Amino acid sequence: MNLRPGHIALYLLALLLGHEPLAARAQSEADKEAEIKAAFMYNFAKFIDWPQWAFSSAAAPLTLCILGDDPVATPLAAMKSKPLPNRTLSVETYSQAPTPGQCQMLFISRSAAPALKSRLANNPPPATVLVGDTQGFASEGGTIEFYLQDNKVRFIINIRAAEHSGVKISSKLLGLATVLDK
Amino acid sequence: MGKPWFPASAALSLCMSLILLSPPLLPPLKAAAAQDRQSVLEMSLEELMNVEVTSVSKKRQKISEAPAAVFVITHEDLRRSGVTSIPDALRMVPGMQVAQVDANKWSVSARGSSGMFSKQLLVLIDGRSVYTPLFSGVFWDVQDLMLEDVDRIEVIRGPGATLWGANAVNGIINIITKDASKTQGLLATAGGGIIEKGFGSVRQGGSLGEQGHYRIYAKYFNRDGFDDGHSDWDALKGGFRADTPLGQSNNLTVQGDMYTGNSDGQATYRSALAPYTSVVDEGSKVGGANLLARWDHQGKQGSSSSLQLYYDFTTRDDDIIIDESRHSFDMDFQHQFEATPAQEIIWGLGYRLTRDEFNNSTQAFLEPDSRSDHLVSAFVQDDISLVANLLKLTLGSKFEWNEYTGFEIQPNLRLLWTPSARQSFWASVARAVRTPSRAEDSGSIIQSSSLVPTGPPPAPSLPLLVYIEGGSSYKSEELIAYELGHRIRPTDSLTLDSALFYFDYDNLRSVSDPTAPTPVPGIPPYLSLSLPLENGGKGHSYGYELAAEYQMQPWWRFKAAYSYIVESHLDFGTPKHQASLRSSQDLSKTLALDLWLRYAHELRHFSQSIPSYVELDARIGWKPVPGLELSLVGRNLLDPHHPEYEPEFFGAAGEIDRSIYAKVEWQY
Repeated sequence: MNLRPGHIALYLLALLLGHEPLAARAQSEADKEAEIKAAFMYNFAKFIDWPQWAFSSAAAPLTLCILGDDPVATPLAAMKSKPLPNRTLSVETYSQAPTPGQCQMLFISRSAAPALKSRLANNPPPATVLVGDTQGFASEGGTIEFYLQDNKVRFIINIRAAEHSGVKISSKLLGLATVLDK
Repeated sequence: MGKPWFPASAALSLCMSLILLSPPLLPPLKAAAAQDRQSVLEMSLEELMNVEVTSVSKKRQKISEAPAAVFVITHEDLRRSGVTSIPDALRMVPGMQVAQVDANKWSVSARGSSGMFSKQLLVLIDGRSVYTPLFSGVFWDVQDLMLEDVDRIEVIRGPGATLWGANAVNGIINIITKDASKTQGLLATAGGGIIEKGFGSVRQGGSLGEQGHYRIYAKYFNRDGFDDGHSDWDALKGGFRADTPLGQSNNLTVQGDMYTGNSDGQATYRSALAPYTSVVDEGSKVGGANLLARWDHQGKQGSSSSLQLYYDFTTRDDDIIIDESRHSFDMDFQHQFEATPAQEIIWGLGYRLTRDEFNNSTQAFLEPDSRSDHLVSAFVQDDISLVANLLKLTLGSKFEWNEYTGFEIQPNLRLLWTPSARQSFWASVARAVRTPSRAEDSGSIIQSSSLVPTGPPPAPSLPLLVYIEGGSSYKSEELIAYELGHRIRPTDSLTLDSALFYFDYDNLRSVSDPTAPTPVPGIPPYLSLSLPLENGGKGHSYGYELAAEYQMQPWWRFKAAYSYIVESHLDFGTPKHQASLRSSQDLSKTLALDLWLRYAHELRHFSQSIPSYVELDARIGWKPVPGLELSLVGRNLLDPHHPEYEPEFFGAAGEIDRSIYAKVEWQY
């Protein structure tokens, strides 16, 4: 073979000089589902009213938290500082349960320990909307549960849990949800 | 050194110019992804309710939970071990015997029956079989991939005949490359050292249309032979892969590769002329191309189906023994569905056409020298949940019709018992066959040449050439395999995976009574004797394998493997004990250290016994800035050189040298 290492080096150099950086990674099907859920959560934040005492001040942002490791974290993080009707949105991730009152919405990933999930559901932190995508989340005390029907993302709202936490859900959101009244 | 198959520099130019041209033609990925994200976030609630997502098939069983002796070599395993070839990576798998013969030849087998021409192992790259029907084995020197883009290698020891077909007798190696969506952007590597004289590769990935992705790559290496450079080899390879969703429930994958190279070695040349048997240098020029397309469909209620077609071309010429070109065309269809809530059925149909052209030499002769073979196959497998989440029975069988032995049936039965989330047991009984190779059916291969007296003195001495003769009456080799396995995760940081097996072989290759020596007039005259091949061999083997993984600290992990095997029949030799211990340490956020200790017991079936050996590989990786990694890899560090194998038929004994290389990897 009469190919010299010099040739290769030249080609590689030419390639690198003429190239545009492509930073972002591509999406897979699981990521697409995560994106839809993140977009829904942004809309939940828009169409749910939290009581004034849920926030430390009038200028405090609405904090959306993720408990555990979940693909939904990436698209949610991209939503940081998106405008809401009255506040800005802030996104935090936690590996342990956050202090009650720190989050207005808390997404509990399927990787979070089941014991933790049921503790949060039985003793929900005040003025916190609990969101999950595991089967039975809403009936066990969560506020909103995502599920798939005909390859489309749908959600269940547990009315009692919402009332208990002190938030008011707009009729627009209730109309699109499967309502659980227990 | 022969002339390359087609001008190598032309191939390199083509690949490189394709890579250079691609960025302006296709939209930058970052913008496309940001645009997708943007559009979803801009949607109203009603619009969001109408977006379709395809749920990832939940029914597909995790390969590591299958009722079989499975080991998965992960991408990280490949990266951190510093291996530059697939056979070297296989050394970390319990139950696999890998012995390097020279710089570009390996003997790879699972659970015994070792041999460079090891005939009972099926090897697939992204669903394409790379096993050659010429001698029922794999030419490992041309199965070179960009290991940076390999997602995993699934190794299943034992018959998996049902899903993968005949010739998956002792095991299956399934090499799976990453989806194009996972190999985006630019990745470039370059390096060199002792033995690894120089290598480089470049890969460019981007989007294809709205939802698809592609990658295109080129790679080159030049490696020194061991032992004064008899087995130098080099190759240039390029290829692509494109993955596109079609609508909501379909996916299309198209991929292809092309390569050209040279693999040198030494061959034993036998003739009727003095010195009758000599070791000569030989240089094989190799080349090939393949194209594969696969359509995957997700149906309702978790069912799925796929259709795959591929074309494969290989050519190899060493001017002495082998001069072969082969075209293969393969079509496979598979469908998986839930027949009842407790039963999942997977069935499939396949067809393969393979056509070869062999130029007969004085060392190897095929009659006919060119042949087209058809293979038709079907399989069905039923996974039955006898007790939900506790006991599962798998019944299956593969049916094949081939041109050498006609109809073959390979049933198997497996049971999986999962008493807890931390532990499972499995058992299996299976029948598998290995159909005859071209050489066994139609070949005449020279085995030895020596001067023999023709009678008491003063009768002259004549050269006697002994040939191993195949024939169309050669049957399939058969295996009945009994296996037991156990997996346990006693703590969150320790996993133990064991397997026990008993293999009962029948109709193994043997040689029957030689014909009387026949005088052949010629210049010079000689005697010719044939050893006809037949299936008179019987034998059995049994053994134990253990794979363990221990996360000692969050930054320090150990992976170990141990195999034990006893064989009743003498074959080309399998070490009784083998062990492997790997340590992976993340010394800091940027520094990684990997050590790999290997042991193989002695081999005593050869003219020279191969002693047992202990060897060590080490790798230091450093990431000074994100996207850049520098690494230094030392292999076979404990001895300046050591033997692992003695090649059969045509090779000459060699030893494996200590080597070291440095590598730069840049991702952008």
